[in-house]
Amino acid sequence: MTSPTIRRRWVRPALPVPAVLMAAMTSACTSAPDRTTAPASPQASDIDGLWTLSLWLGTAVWLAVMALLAVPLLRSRRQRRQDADASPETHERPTSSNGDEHGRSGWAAPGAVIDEPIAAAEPDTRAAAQADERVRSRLLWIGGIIGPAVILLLLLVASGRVGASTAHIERPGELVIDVTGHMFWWEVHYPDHDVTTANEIHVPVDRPVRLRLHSEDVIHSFWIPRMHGKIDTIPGQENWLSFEPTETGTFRGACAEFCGIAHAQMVAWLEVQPEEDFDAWIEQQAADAAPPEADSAQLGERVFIEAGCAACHAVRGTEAIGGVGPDLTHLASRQTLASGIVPNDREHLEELIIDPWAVKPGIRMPPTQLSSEEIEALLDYLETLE
Amino acid sequence: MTTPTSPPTDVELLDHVWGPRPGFIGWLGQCNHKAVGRRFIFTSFFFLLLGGLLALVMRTQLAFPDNDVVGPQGFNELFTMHGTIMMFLFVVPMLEGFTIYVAPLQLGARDMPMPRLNAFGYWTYVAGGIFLLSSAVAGQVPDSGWFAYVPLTRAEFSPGLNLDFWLLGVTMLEISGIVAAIEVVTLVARFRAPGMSLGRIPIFVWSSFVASVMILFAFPPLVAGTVLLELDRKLGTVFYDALAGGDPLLWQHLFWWFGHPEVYIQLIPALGMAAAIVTTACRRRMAGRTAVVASLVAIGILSFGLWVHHMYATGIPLLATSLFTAASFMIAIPSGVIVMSFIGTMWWGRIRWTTSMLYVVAFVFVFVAGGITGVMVAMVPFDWQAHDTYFVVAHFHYVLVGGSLFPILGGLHFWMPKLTGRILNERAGRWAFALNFVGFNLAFFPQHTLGLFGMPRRVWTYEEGLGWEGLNLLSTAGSYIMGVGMLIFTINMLVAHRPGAPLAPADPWGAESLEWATDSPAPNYNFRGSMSVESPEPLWDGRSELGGSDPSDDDPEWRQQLDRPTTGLRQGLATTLLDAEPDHIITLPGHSLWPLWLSIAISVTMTGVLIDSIGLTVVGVGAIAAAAATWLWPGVE
Repeated sequence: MTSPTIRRRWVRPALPVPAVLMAAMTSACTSAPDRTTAPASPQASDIDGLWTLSLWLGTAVWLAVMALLAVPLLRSRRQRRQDADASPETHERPTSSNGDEHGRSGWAAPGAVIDEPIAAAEPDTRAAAQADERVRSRLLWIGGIIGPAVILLLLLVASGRVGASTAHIERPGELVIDVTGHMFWWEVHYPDHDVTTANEIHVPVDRPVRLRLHSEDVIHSFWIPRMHGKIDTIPGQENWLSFEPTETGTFRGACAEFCGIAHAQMVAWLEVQPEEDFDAWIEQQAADAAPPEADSAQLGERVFIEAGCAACHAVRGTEAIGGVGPDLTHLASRQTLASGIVPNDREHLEELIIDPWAVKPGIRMPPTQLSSEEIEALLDYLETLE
Repeated sequence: MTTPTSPPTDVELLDHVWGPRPGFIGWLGQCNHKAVGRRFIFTSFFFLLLGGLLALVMRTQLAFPDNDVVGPQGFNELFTMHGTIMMFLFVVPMLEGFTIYVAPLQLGARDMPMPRLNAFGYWTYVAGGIFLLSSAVAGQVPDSGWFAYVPLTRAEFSPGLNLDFWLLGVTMLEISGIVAAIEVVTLVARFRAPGMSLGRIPIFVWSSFVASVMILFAFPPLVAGTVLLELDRKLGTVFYDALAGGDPLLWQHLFWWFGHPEVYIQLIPALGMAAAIVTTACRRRMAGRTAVVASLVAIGILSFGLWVHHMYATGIPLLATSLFTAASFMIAIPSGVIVMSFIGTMWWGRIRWTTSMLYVVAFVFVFVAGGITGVMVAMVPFDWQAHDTYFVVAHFHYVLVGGSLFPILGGLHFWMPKLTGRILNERAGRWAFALNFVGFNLAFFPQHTLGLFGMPRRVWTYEEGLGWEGLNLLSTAGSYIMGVGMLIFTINMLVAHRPGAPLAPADPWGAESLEWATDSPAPNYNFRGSMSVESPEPLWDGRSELGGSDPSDDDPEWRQQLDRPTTGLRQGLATTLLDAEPDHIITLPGHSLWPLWLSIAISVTMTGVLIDSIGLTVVGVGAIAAAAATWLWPGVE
């Protein structure tokens, strides 16, 4: 006989699971800075509202189903206790004509205890059978069809409304920015200001922004969780992503579509600034690179041109016009390197130049063979590119 | 009715005619559904363990921020092979194996209608599996995800053989799936015991039938897609090249036209397995049996209208994607009906707590949660946030582990007596269950939150300070617990098959369907004598003839011809489509090596394509033609 103790043995370890999970969720809830549930734009806020609605409805549905599931499980347990007290009134199962040749009694698999008479567990009385039938029919009709249909209709309307309010449509006074996915970095171009930069997108607060997304190689997906959902960048296609940041600050984003070996390290940063700060920034970015003054930096510039850096990277105002890697005209004004994964300081820059794969395995930049003087000069030069 | 007094020679004769040839060649040439079904089940169980191990390595890599256990290339190979193995080498073949072994028994047939095709399906599956795994030997493991999105997978960005291994291997697995599906559709249509009208077909067989029809419609687009991609890679065509006028999204449409139904192909037969278990454990007919079958069919049809919900972020206009939201929502209704039917079946209580039943309860617990998150990600705006994040990883593991793996593990407990005549230990089974259940929830529930915290999928590393550390560690711990559960499950299976382990009786669970009317394991001939099915639960109704009696001289001549095969031919009874009236007798092949040769010929061809050897390819194609022609030649076995 499968006793209740055996059943409790699996129930008990399962009980703490929800408690542990809930505790972990709540403790973790405030620690992630760039979560979708901390919206910083009306678009992300609307989506967060939709999520909250569906979370509540979904939790209610799940709990309701679990409550329904608990009923027969508990009844089964009670029934078993009663059966243990009284001798069970069960109908013998009609034996099959070729019978049990091994014999039920001679079979003794350890732990597999099914020695009670096999019976069809139908209700005992006509009234009970009718009541049971009513419940089952309601379960199917209300629980299986009508209930879900009502909730789904509600969600369909909510989803449609949020879809309309978050659609990637043109808005008056918007700032259009071209964002191009590369393996494995983001090219950022402001067509109205003719400014090109990489991986760090500056936008003014409280002004609609519309990103025009392209790809130069494979499919990537651009995503800033606190601003809006993600949209793919697809070769041969132009996609739009629009949002209106209402909070200043720095927001992290990342490539969300698997794009190859360094997919995990293709980060983008969004810098939302007050209007005047943005204007100052864009004006500074629009300027060509200032010619280096210090000797070492002048040597560095030559290294940059001659050692091959310029084959891939452009520095506006110099002979370096390479278009494969990020534009470095104002490299020193950026906060991060290698598509947003390490801080922009001399140490990391040096590592990136000498052994790029140590910083970011899979990066398309080749290692550079330079003497230590050349490296120092190059770093001096790059630090002038503000 | 007859009494079991007729001479034992009938059984011996049946056993001889339906038994395998002696020796290794006899073993290789077996085509009978039981041999093939068992092979599918145990081979795919091996792949389950392999895929699970890969997952544990991935979780180890992700346990801590800035961890470096396998590096980016290794991680990409791991998640690619984990997905590919679990989808193509574990779930689908496992369910096919159960269908091939159990469905003919449940239908009261002696074999599948095309046994050699059956064996061919298995050998091609094994060949495809070996082909994929051999990429590890060549050091060119596929590394672009099980979805293999172009243009990343075009030769331009993936110049190695990695993707060729994947495309050719998967094509072989698709061939295997398609032939098995053809076989199952024919089986269910025409090989049922007399009296088993459509309304009396067991739910598991219905589910296999629906999944097989789906395979016939879902797999060919992927074959087309992979062939086009292989042409792009090998011959320089431009089907997917945007610069030359091709379209990268074409791949996604073809892939998801296969890929979304594929999810339900993995789910529906598992639902059927759970239905068989719940009916038996509750000792009642499935509540709303007809509604359940109708729901399975409805899911099968609706699942072909959802593929774009994998592509909400590709820039497809909002109006179009919104229609797919509505279509995706519709799936929730038949799924809800099925879950409610399960609960309704249990409602009266008196449930017998076998381990298989525990897995069914866990299935309801987990699958409902996965269904609810499925409704969430079907909403376009929310999916823009959740798409390609760990939220989706959590969602589909809730659906597939809850809806597929748990019923399969329950099904292994439930049907093992019939498969091998051994019974799994219930106590060890409960321990494995508890660890799997707790470990699973611990591993995957936190991933919902991780997704909302901005963690994209398929990242091999993450930095500190993003708020992802604790939940990732929790998830890894959960995966280890589940690993221990699967280890106990495997040991339990091995121990149950040790020499001298107790044998199971014919019907250890008091189940209702025909496979339990015959010995455990099922004898070569399945059933001895005449059968007639009077209800959906022939073992419970007390009226059905269960094929256990020896043939009598009073039986009609055709019946005696079947049950006393003095001619030495394997013959099966074909019945009519609707009412399963006896229609005609079909002679079935019993032993053939040609399916194996054909699979080998296909492997040679694929290898030729892989290594760019025109000579080898031509030899392979010639061998395919020769093997197929010999196979089909009248009189050749």
